Amino acid sequence: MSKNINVSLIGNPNTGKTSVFNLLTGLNQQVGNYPGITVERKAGICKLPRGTKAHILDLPGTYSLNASSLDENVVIEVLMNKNDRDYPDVAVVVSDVENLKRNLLLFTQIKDLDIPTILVINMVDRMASKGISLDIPALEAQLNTKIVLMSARKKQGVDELKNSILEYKKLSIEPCLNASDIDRNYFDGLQKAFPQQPLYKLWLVITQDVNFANLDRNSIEDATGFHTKKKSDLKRLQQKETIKRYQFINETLKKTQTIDIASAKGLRASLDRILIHKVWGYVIFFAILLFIFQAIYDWTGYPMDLIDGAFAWLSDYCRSALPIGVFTDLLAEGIIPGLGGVVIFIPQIAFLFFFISILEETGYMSRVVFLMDRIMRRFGLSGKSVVPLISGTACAIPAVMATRNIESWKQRLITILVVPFTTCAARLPVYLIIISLIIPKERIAWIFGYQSLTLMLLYLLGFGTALLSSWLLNKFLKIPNKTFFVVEMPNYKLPLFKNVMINVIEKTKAFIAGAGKIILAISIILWVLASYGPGEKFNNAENIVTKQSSNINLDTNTLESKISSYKLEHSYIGYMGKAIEPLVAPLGYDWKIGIAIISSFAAREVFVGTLATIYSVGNEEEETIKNKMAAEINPITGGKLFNFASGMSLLLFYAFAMQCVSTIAIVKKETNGWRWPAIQFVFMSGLAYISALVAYQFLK
Amino acid sequence: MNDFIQNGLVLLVFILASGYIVRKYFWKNPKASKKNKACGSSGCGCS
Repeated sequence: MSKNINVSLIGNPNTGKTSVFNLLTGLNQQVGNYPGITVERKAGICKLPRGTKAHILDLPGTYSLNASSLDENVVIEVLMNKNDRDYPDVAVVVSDVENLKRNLLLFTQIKDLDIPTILVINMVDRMASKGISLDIPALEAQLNTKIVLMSARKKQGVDELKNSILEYKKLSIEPCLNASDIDRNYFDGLQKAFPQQPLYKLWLVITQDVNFANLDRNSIEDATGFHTKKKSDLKRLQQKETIKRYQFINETLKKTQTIDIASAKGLRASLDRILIHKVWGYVIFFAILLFIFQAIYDWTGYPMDLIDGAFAWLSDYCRSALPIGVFTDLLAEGIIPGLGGVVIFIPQIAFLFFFISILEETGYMSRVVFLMDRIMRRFGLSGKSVVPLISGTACAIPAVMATRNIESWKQRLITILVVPFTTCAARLPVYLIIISLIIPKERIAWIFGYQSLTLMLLYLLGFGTALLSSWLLNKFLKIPNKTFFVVEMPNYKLPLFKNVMINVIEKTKAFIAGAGKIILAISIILWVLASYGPGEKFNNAENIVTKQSSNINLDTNTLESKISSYKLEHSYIGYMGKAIEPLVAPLGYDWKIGIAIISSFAAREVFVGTLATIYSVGNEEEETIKNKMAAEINPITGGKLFNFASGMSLLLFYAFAMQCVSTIAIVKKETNGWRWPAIQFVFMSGLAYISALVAYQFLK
Repeated sequence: MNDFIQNGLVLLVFILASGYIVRKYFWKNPKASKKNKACGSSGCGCS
């Protein structure tokens, strides 16, 4: 039986590693035309010819082996530790044909680690348009390795890569750079102390803060008496190493690469002049945002109505087709409306992800990162914080993880703490339903509607609050901070429909699968709590209400509605709701909204499902969720429960409140303790409560 | 009989739903917490 071949996919950010990974493994990991997509190792299996299998590991993008952030450490830890079960038999360095010079720095470093290394030159379909030509046999000879030309987007070169992986034992492990050339005396001493170890590996052990089996800087000194240099001297030697490597790369490319600038097309430069312009760049960005939000409203109305109607029909069908009883009621009033409350938002969420994917795929998102860096710096964040803040529009959990590529701990911590302010997909259902209840459908100048403008303002509010909080945290946190920001500006590309659709389907599926199970469980619990109650008042509700109404002439429907309302008030959930009502009444909410807020502390999207379930118990008049909510009356004021004041108060509450247990858990994991998530929770919840209170009291 | 079955089903579904929520949010899996290291082996990036 043949052994699995361990393959590590390594490369600079945005060279298409994940696309190569997806091609090899047949998996659908997220790809995007902006750097920082991969921050963790991802694994998959690839079937090679002759029945051999390769275990492919997709590592985070890194510019060199001189790690400065957590995601870069992941790469070094895999490559340095032979005891790691993922230690590669062969490394595949993915490079971008347009940035070969910079990409080769990492290649030469990896090759010097005694690991057989294949160089993949990706995006070769762009060579002609960029006037690039390469003498591949000469380049292979210079680098002493196998080169595979690929276009992952066009699925070219994958078979050649598989064959090259299979033949990895034939690859030379001769280093590109003799490490002794950096400082002969120092490196000769090091080699004498550890004659069995590759010299470049030893050098990395000394300079990098990562584990290397059981060897570290101190143990080298303890075991051999060999004295490592001061940090400043080591830095100087690192710089010398980089210079030596670039000298080698320049010589190599001079002999093997020609670039005909005259034949290169300059579309990128022209587009960049406008898209990252200090005024027009922002104008275009906001116009794109407005277009997206307007499209979300304009294009999704029909499918949403269809879904809403389908769930109302399903609920009725259950009631008529199944035997009368409590389980049928649970299905018709609890589970189906609860799930309907999530499924109805699929079209809008899918559209949002569709547009975000297009922005990522075209390369525009990197321009947004560049634009935002100018603003970010003033608030104590780095441009790298933009990537987590933008990915936070999908979900805060991967966004918090994406902060791992921020080198400075202070900036990373600030980003982790403010990311949950970004409007995530879970807030969208809450925003959409409240906006549809309180904001008129009219348009301004026939183009943009008030509803889409409100939605955009809520996104900007989240982003603005994140920036303001960063500024405050930057002032108060006393953590040393030193950082720089280099952003990869990828080429503009036509988005690949397949990639966009994979992204949309995966993210929508994750939203439904993640939220769906919780909402289903919470809907069941809430329905039971709303359908059963303690004591005589609940059990004898019918008699009590009939007796109370005996002097008034009520029709059957009104009487039934009064009985249902009385039962709900005296159910378990009714008592719980009444207990928290004093806390939420100043914000303009009744006890039912209070229950929805409490239950949505697990996950925000539970809010709509909860209200759909609570309002469905005993309510057979209104069919759709929106109509049920619109028909609710505030028992104190006698007016509509969801009016402009209470609606704005709710929108602000959800814009600021930290209502996601999973985010709290990931913040705890990333900050190694409860301190920061606790501060974050108290700050965000406090801000949410105060702003909702002020809004309601001011607007009522 | 129908009432008995329907009540039984509601009870079963309620227990399953409550069990799911408790397991998701309140039950700490010791194996999972050991596996997940936040700050890399060198502890860099953590205060």
